[in-house]
Amino acid sequence: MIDIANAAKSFAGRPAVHDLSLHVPRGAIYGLLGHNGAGKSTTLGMLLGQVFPDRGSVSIGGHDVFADRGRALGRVGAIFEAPCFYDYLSGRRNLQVFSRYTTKVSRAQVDAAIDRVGLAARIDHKVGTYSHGMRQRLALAQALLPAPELLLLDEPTDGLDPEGIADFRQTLLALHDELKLTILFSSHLLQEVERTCTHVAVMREGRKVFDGDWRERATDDDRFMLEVDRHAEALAFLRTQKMIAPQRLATAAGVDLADINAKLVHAGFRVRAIAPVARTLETFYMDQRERAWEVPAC
Amino acid sequence: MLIWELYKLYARRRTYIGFGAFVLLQAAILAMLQHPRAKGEIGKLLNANGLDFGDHYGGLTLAIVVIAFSFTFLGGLYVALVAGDIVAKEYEEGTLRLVLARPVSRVRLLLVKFAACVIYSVSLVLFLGVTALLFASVYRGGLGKLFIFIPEENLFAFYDTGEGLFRYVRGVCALAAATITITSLAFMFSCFKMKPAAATILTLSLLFIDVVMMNLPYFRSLRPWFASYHMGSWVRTFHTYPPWPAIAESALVLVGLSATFVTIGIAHFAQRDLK
Repeated sequence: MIDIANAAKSFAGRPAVHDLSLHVPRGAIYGLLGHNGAGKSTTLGMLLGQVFPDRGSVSIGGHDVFADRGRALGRVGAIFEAPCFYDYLSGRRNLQVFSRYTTKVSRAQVDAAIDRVGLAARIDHKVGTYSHGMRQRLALAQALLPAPELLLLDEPTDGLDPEGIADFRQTLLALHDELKLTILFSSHLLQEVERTCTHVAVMREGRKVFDGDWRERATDDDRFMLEVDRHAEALAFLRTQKMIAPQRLATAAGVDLADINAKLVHAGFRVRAIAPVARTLETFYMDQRERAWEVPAC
Repeated sequence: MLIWELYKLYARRRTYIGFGAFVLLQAAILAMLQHPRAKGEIGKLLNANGLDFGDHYGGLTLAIVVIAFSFTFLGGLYVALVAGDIVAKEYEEGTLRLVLARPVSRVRLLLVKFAACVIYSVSLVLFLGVTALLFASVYRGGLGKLFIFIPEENLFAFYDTGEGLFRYVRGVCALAAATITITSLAFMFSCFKMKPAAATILTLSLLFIDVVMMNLPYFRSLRPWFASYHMGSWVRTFHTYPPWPAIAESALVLVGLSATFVTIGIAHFAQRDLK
């Protein structure tokens, strides 16, 4: 659905995205993870034709975003971090205005989008009176008009309360199931991405350091927790024995936790606990960041 | 798209500031013209030229006085305010990014926005023309005959009501067309990465510099090089025998300037990264 090939972008000589290649399959819920300034928003900007890459190509549904904008963005809905609307117009008028830039939509289509996000009671009020959560729901309704195949969401849950985040997640998952949407979701809320996304790409300083189904890769996770007396000394000992990775508390290739336990006990350390770390997206993400320090980024 | 652009424009309260300000200013000018001294000055001028005060101090004459004063002071300001906002304000508020997430081309979007600004500018001048004539006619109890005297333009003319009304309508239409140049200049600045207020202030500053320099006695022979000279050509349509070749030349200069401003603005915006 989305293909970015070797895209690069600098702002005033400062690289924001380096040689980025990304493929998002149709029907995926794809999380774009990274710290502030990692290049997530620049990537979404390039996908929407709002940021011109210095080199590389960006296409949606097989259509180049810059050469064939009409077809590439014809079935795309987008939401940005701060939901901006014409505050002096009603929610309904805003939906009509924004969707008109794609095509003419019927009142029934607008009503269906409003019902889907649960905003019917306030839709004829001015947007200036809406709460942040309501604005975000309006943003989602806007993105659903007229009939997208792809949603691009840039930090959509920022500023929402926990209830709002949960509602947003449920709505998004329901949309994915019912409308078979492909969703690209940029966020730094790891828990949200873990609960929502099927695939992730991790970015660090403009470079992609991981791309794919994180759950599959997480089974290779070799991090562990260790409770031992003289902790720092124990780690140094394990490193000299080449039993753990140089920068992380992770087993070296071909070593398992039983070997490490036996080695420590044999060397006179008192091991109180040793166990693999639970495989969450957070541990996976942190691991990717640490690995990025050990090896050149892909 | 143009209809929705106009809907957005006219749904904003600040769009009406210009209309409201003109009504207030017109009322103030007409109230000032009630003063015996003001009446006396105009009466003296009419009598000195053998014209009857009662016939010529009517709605048409006063409407021209009102337009000349009110548009000089406020017209450029309100046109620049709206055209300076049209792109820069939407960029600042973030709605432009959401619009440009849609499959609309930047050039088309900007052309629609410019068209909306032109419609606003023309509607503002026409509003001024209609209300000035309406208020002045009510104030003087009728249209009367048209008398116009502008020494800087060597313009001294008087017309019967029918001819005066025709000249008045034509002059207001010419003023509306000339105003599009100010719209284009403000629109161009609005397309650059700057605050909406900066686009308005830059436009007014350039306009002000142009007017001041044109009026310096040392530059008298260079007047046709200033944009405001050509923008003032609406007044020349009131000559008994209007200098049509000069008016046409001014119109061409203004069209050329407007096209250049709009092209620069759109070309710059089309290449801008929006973040």
